[in-house]
Amino acid sequence: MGVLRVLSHHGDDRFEWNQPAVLVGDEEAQQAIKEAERIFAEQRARGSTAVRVTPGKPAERIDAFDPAAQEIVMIPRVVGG
Amino acid sequence: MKSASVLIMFVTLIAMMVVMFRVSSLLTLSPYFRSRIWPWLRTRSWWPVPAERTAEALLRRLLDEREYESLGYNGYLEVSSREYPGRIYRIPRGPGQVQVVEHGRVTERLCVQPAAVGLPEADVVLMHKLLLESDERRYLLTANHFPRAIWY
Repeated sequence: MGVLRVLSHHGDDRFEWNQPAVLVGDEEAQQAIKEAERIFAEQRARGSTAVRVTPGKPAERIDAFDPAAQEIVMIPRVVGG
Repeated sequence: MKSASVLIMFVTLIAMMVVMFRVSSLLTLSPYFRSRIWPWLRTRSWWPVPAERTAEALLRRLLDEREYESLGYNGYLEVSSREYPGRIYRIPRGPGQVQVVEHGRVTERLCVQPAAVGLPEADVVLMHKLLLESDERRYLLTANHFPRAIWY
């Protein structure tokens, strides 16, 4: 399962897609991945930073949606305080 | 006589209210409460703010056991720099700036915050950690840098 999390005042909004099902051409899974990709692009356009999170490894910044990622966290735009 | 006893009761009641308010303020603001009791309460299923419960659960899941323990014990999370050997960033839980620690000494403070308001406290801790790990240079460019406070 892949998860896209968008940090927000709701805590986090999560969108999931089933990676094995995408590989075998499941239509519902492909729709889910398209939706996750759309949200990714929308958040990036708003200035969010996307990081790929892998257990036991430091977070890694990504600029393009990675359907193979286990977990992507979108961090809202930050400013100097 | 009766009015005097009513006055004494009234004054006693006000004094008790003031004391209770002061005690609750002290408890709420104390580092122990802020870094241990509140986070624990937020993970309970009955906690009335779902956003805080979700954020705390995510923070707990994405930190390893040692990091989460340390955050609860010290009130801050330490992230080692990948760009500058010997440098550690101390991310506070709750309000405050990120401290830059080099060779055991605070050298400066950094202020970075989400542009939008309302991000739960646990998400803010996670935000600093993920940004520092994934793109430390950009984080440092975004941050406002302040000299260390004189008491450090």
